[in-house]
Amino acid sequence: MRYAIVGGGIAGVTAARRLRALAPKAEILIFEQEPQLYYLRPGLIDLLAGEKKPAELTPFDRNWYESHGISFRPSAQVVELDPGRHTLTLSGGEKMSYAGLILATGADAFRPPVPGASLPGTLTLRSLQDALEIRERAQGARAALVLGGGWLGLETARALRAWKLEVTVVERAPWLLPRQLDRAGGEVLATQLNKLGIEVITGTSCQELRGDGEVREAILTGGRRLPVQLVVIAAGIRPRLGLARQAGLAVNRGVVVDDWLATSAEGVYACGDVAEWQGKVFGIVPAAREQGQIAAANVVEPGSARYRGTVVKNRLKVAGVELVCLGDTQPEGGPGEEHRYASPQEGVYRKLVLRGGKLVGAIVMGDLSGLGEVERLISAGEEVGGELKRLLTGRLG
Amino acid sequence: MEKWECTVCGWVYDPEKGDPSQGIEPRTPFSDLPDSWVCPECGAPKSMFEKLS
Repeated sequence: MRYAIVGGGIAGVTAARRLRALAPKAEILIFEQEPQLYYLRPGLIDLLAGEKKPAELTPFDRNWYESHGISFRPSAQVVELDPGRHTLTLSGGEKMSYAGLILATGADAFRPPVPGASLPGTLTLRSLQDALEIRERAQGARAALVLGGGWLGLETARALRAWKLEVTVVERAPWLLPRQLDRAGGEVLATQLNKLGIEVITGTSCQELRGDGEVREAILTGGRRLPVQLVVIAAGIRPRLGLARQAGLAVNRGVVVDDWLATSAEGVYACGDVAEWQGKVFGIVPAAREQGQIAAANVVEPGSARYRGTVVKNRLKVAGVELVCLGDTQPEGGPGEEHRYASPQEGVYRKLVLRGGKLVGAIVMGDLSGLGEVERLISAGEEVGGELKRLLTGRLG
Repeated sequence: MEKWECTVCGWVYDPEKGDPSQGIEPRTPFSDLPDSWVCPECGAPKSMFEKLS
């Protein structure tokens, strides 16, 4: 019995480990296109900041895979998948059959069509190689522009500040983290980032990048020109769909999966950043882990594990700025009842979203006291009642 | 000794190595880590860890 996993990120490796536990005798192969063993993608920020080495981001070494009977093949590109015949083909021509297959091909960084975005010195941060390249570029740069004020963009800005660069973040939406934060929260956050020496420009996009051989200048909407030697584009991710399309699987924004993470082809499951479940591509580690485990269970025994979604949780990894967003935060309002507490001078902002008396989302910034309780209430789906005021003010109440 | 994995970011606590960044000596079992200890990678609390199978 052979199980094949395409993609050796957190979703693929989690699936492999669960397969190992559920099917002790099966052959398990992971095909990864990058040249390294599985590493912690969120840790690339620390690598970029010069705070960690690649080895520190690699939780399992060669011996670990060997002792667990998992064959991890780096630099392996699966170019063809034939779900009807249950076979796959590698770029070198090697062909093999499988009993079950898990697609965990992840996502690429999105590059918006900005003129000049192909100039050297304009990079995206997705792989370990990307992080090393940006770090190297940062050594010779004075000023950097980060395009995108989402989680990755802000953390990238912080990492570049560690190299003493002048850093500007440009976000197209009217405020930072527009998919989780609301306007008031975004403003508090921008002030905190300013204190770290990061300039934040919202409601603006980059019209053009210019340079003679290397990027040297960014032209923003409104006409402002920024001298730059490094541009990092952090404009979100796009699931890698090439193989799924070639195989004829149903795809939308991601590979469409049902509640068992089954794709439209028999014997093929998908998980992690490539999978689209109920219209959602989560793009976060906890979802990739949960989905990896569920896909593995269903490959071994179809219908044995049902996916019910992952509570979205994001924590900003920027030293000196505490921020956690949980669940449905209603960035632009919505059906839920909103409660706020703010103390902008201290960088404190808290918003709780309730529906039918139950907590469904929260923004907790500046003061993380009581965060555990907030998380527990969101997961448990209990009614909040009289605790609301305390939850809202944390220990400040 | 058992290794434990952070469910938020995937970082693995290896007791053989400990966690020098938070003053945890090598050969400290996960169960002996103080409650104030957090994932050095993402800041998740100890309760967010699962034992590696």
